[in-house]
Amino acid sequence: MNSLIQFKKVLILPLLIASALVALASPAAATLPPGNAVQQWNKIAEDTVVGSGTFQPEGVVYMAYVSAAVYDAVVAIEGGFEPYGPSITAPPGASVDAAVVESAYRTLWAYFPPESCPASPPNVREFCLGVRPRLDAFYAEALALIPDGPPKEDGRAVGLAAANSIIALRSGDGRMTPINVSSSFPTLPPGPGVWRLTPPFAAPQTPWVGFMRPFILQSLDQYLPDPPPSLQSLEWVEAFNETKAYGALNGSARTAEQTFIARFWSAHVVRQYNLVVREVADAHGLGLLEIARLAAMINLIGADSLMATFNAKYHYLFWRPVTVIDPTAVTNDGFGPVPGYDDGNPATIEQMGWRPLMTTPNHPEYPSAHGSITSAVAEVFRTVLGTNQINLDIHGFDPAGPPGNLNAVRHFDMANDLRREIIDARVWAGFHYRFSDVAGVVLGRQVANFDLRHAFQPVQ
Amino acid sequence: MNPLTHFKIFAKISILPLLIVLALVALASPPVARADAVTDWNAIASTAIVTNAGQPPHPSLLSFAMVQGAVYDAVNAIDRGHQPYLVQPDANQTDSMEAAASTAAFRVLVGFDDLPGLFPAQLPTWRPVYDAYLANLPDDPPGSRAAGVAIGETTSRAMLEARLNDGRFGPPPDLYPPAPGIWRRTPPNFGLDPAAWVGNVLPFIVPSAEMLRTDGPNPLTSAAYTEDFNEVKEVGALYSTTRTPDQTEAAIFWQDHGSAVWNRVFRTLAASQNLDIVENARLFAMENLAAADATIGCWNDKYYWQFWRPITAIREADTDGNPDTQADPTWLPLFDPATPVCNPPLLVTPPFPDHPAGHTSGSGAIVYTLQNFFGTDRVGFSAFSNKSCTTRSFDRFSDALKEIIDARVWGGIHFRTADMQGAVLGKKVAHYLEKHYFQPVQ
Repeated sequence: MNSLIQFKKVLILPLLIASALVALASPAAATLPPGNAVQQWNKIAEDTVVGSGTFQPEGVVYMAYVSAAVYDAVVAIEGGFEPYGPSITAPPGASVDAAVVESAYRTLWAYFPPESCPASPPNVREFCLGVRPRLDAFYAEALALIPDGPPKEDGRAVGLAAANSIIALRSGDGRMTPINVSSSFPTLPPGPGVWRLTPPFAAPQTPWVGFMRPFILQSLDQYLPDPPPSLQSLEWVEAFNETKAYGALNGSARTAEQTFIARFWSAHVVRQYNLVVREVADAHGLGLLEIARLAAMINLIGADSLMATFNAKYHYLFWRPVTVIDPTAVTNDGFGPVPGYDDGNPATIEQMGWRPLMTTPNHPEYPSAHGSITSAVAEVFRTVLGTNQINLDIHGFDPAGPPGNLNAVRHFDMANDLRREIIDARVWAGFHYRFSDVAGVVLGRQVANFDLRHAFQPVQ
Repeated sequence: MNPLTHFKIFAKISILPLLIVLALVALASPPVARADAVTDWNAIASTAIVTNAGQPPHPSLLSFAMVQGAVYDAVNAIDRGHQPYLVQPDANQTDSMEAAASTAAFRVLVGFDDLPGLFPAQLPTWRPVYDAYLANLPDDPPGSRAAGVAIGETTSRAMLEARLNDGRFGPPPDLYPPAPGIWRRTPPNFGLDPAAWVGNVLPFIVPSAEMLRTDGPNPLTSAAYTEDFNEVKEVGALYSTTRTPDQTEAAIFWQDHGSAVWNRVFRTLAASQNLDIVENARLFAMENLAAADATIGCWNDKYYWQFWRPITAIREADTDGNPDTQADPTWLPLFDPATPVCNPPLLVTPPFPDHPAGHTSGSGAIVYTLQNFFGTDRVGFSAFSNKSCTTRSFDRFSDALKEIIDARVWGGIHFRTADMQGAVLGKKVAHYLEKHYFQPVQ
């Protein structure tokens, strides 16, 4: 069952020697990230996607494009598994490294034109505008490491074909540009329970992600969760009270450890889970094909889970804790009056000025996106590693470090430990109810189980 | 001594006579109590899982689910009346459902040359039984029996492959540091859970165990806790003066191996309700799959809360911070080795946390699924217990669940809240199954 072992790290040694030679010849060129070609370009893609200011769900979509192209390029040469897109014929002896470099480079280059860059903030815009020149430099450096000759040219041709076929396949899939752009969506009549913009009142985050063409799922509402509980139910009262007590910025019931865990999970999921892919590849000695397959699974299945989550979010349009705990925490957003609505339940007590520990994400509450993708990722690792003792180190935000860091590490023995923690963490962050975290975890696992049965299958 | 180890010893002793009995049954044709291949092989599976392998109730339900899930897919592949559970291999309507069902069960139990089953070591036991069983089946039209065998092999293989690396027999969850309210090993054996891993097993029906999380035990200082505490302390005590003899019998009755008792009840219902082999295949699969997931959810939840048992709570009530609970440092529950039973092992507090109750979780899923299957609660049935050696009768399915909820308090091993929330957990599984699985086709 475990197919991880059968491939070898044949390419690493020559690559290391080549790197050393290049480093000696030209110190300025030694800028490629560490690892083999798949790991290097996974990291380049991650930096490109996150640095250009993508929100998490759209960031995972971009990662899915790149990792699908790389996977199809490697599979075309090495075989063993079904490709994601149309199958590509590779000449015998084609260089896998060249195919990886070409496919990743071409895909990223195509998806990050200057006109897609966000208008602000200025440093992000500047980074995004510099993506193509930076990619060109990485590309030149990476190609220089591969000996010239027919295998290299054949590999590049395979990579180009893989990139082109993914771009064609995903043309018109509902992705919108520029990066971070909001979009319209069907609304509900204003009233108790209906989502409102939350402080600091940013525009609704990428509603279009919830209406894209999925990567593997049949449709984004295939596993639409049941509605959130009624505002008159006991379950609602309990969830309200828990988030109010444990998610508050000030005077909360959290322990220091709970606060640390809540903050840990503020890391960008694109960085968190692609780093895990690269580390698992090292720890288990995976070959290029297996890393490419794992990266494609994490990002395509992750993208499907977030698209399905956003579909449910903009379907139910359920309000965030800050909106209901403090009805004055609304603005003239077009979704209702100022102040906002009472929930009509005498058992819940509002608290003026209540704020969550962490800033509420600017999209509807139900279900939790982080719960969904984390649960999907846990299922991918459970399946690929062939055990629910996944034994993973996950990197997350350390409040002692700079913004956006992944300096903290938490270890998870079991797939379920990861699910349990993400459910708690989003309540303690103050922007989710427990039932939404559970619904997200369930949805992510359903998506992963479907996708894992319908893609990436071994072939005879 | 650990009651489960006890049971295992008992099980090993009883294998030989059983083999002889089975051999005799196989020879005496037609078998007296024979209903159909589904019920026959459910009885055989029960012997293999409970008696021979000595699996305790909670892991045994996973084994039953694997057997009955594959049997259902085998029969349904020929009938085509409902959605498959895992697979629906091609079949002709005339293929032998009896051969398909018996092969599916046989293969999940003993496996294949290249794919281990549940109990590879029992192959010498069941091979002759299976061969004799097949030989007794009609082959009409010719080839229908072999076709049934092939179908059963396909569905059992699918089940065994689906359950590879599903988390069974994994490591136990970590235990919380000792504190008032937190579970600790209990007298007199201070045993450890032989299958604490059950809560991390991949569920059969529900997408994820997290959706089965219960509300949790009552805070130690709450009035609800005080009420539960005083109830079990009084009515669950070894020498309680308020527990009636019938309540004592009920408590002991339901401590018989839960999955063995319920599968006997299903076989009784199959006969009393005149179910055909297709209905039997579906009934046994629905019941055992629901019970397995309820048990997975329950064990996940037990180690989430890790709530103490009544025997610990009552003996150490002076640490609970609740002025209304009085400690009794020598308190003993009805489930104590001093209580007479008609078959080993002796009664003790089960060696895992209180909340939620395992029996009511599984039985909750079973009873609500029975109501779903039969479309009514009003079906009378009787059951026999090997622990009390008595028969008890019920007018409705829900009467049994109500009695089990009480029985675990009368036995002195659970707080009522653990019983109630277990039953709710089981109901959630049953509802999920009703909505998403075993749907009629067309």
